[in-house]
Amino acid sequence: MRDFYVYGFKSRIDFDRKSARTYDNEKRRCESYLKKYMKWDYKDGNKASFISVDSSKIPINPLFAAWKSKSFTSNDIMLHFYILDALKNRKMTVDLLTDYICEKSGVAFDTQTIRGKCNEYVDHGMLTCEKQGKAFFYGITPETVDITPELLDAIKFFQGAAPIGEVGSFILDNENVENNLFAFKHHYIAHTLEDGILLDLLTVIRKNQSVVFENQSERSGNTTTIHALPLKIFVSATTGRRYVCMYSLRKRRFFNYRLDYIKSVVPNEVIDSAPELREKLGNNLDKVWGVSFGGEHRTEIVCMKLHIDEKREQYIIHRILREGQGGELTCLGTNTFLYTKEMFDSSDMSPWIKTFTGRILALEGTNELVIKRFYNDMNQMAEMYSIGGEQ
Amino acid sequence: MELFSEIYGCYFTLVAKILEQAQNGLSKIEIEKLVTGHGFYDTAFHLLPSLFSGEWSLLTERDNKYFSKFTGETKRPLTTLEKSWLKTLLSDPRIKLFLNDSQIVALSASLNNIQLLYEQNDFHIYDKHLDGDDYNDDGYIARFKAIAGACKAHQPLIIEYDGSKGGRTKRQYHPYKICYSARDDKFRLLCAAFNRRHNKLERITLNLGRIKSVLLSENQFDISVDLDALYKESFCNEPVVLEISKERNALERCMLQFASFERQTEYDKDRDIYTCRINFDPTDETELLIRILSFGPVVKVLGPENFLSQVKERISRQLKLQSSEC
Repeated sequence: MRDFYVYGFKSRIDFDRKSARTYDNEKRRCESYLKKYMKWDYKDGNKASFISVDSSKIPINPLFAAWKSKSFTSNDIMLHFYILDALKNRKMTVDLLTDYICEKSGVAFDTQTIRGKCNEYVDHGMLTCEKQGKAFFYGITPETVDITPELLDAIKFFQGAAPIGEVGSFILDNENVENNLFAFKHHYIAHTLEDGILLDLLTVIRKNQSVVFENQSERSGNTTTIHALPLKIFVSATTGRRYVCMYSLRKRRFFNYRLDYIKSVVPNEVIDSAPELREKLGNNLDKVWGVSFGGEHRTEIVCMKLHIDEKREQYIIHRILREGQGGELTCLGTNTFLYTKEMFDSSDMSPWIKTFTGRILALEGTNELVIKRFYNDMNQMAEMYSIGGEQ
Repeated sequence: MELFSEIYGCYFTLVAKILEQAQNGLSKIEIEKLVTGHGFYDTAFHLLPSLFSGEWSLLTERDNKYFSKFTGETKRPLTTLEKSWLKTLLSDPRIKLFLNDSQIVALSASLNNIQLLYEQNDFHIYDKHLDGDDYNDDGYIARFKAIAGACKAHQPLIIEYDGSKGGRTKRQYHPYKICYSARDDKFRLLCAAFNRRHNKLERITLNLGRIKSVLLSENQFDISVDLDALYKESFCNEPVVLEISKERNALERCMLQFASFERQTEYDKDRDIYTCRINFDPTDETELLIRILSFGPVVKVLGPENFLSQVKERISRQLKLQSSEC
């Protein structure tokens, strides 16, 4: 699903990692869940399927469908409704419950099946199980949460804005309510596809546990097994990427790993020093521009001299202040400003620097590669667009 | 806590909806309509035979109508996962836009024994803008609530607004939806106003942070149907066409970064290059332009002409500035 959504140009022959049958199954699944957003195009005789959606125009993330598609048996769906109906306003032992359901449904269920389903619902928190004498009585968990119209509006918002938003969507579905109030911009809907891994990581973060996980790089195709302590989730609201920041117990330093490259997470031992490491990370956050903690040199400095028309281009100054991650901006003279920032790895900053193309008088810094690459990029772009002769 | 469970699934939700509505009887066609409207594309194929044949024993047929075997509500209780998620929202500063202090205290008490799903500081949004809206400002909260109420009731508003270039205006707007940007950490009101010169409704976006006052308009009329149509209209401008090279992992970076736009990508085998067409809101043109420039030479703009000339103009200006400094 991720391939269809993110890349949007996969035809059967591009889908090189798996078999043709997998491609067909995946495509059929996407078409079923996302019929409104699936489009097709023919190129060189090959049909390419893709998902095209302006995320600001959709009330609910269509990729939540991936979480709403678990297969089930006839018993699962029947018992769901019969158990919740039977236990409305009363508690029952599993024997009584079995008799009630068999009689009402006209289907013969054995006690074991019903007990198993009840215990599953106790785990979900929907049922309670109390021992009275020698018997266990099942009942519906008393509803303490009052889902008011105000809370429903909050859920409509947070299902699109908060992490693991599909849970909000489950609540809205259950309440039979749709989001008719909010739209979301800069909204990366594919994040939901990593939320299973995210939830596992958040659980171990709460418990100060380390994990062992397999990291599969889409770029190189390599899979590596890593043992580390997860501490924080790094999110980019601009590039659409999410990472987990971990402390490597072997290398004794922080690393970030892409969430969408992690295939599974296995909890390991509790790390006593986790609170101190978390604090250490927090103290260093202002020096991490993006996700890199840099190499041998502790910090790097970038100085960017900019031409900004003070009278007509105040919005540029505002942009630097809101996007510049606490870097210092000083006025050097009429319409000339200097932005300075110290960080672990200035290469993380390169894309942001290039957003000021057309305003940069000079770029200097301690990492010569970053500076050189900027000037090379400008020259390459000039060549690419056939601009020149005035240097 | 299990995130992937059939109890949250489309089929369970849909069957609950059918059972609730079938308490007074539903025809086969009415049930089919519900399934087509709320299910996946192939749901009818899998679900209807089991429902109608009695295999699931959830409905009984009488006089060509189907009746639920249950009475009253069919919705399930909240799960621990859902309660944990709700509890976590209480520590988000934006919750104040929806719930007042006493509602927050009441909800918090009702979730007393529930664990948090995560803490707010488990997340670090490293490129979030630093001038986000102030969610602790009582005036902002009051205006937000008034606007949300008007959006739901389709009521026009008189809004006093500080424009980005200075100057305050007061005008009648028809609110449509509230749009949130995670990057800007700002809410914007998507609305429409009547343009007398062109004699038509036009789409307008207002930053909630710049709205100074909100009053219900005396001229109350519901144009929600027109607003819906207006906001569903496609952008009439030409899409930006990009050529993406394979260097520096540009394809993946570019596809991810522009994933929130409506777009189409093709691979040209002969030239080993990708072409991507991005549809965009004309008000986002500058933002799109600088985001494309951030990729440097690994992404080339092919058109439209006006967009391309802006890119060229910026690069040309950059070369001049560089050479003047040398």
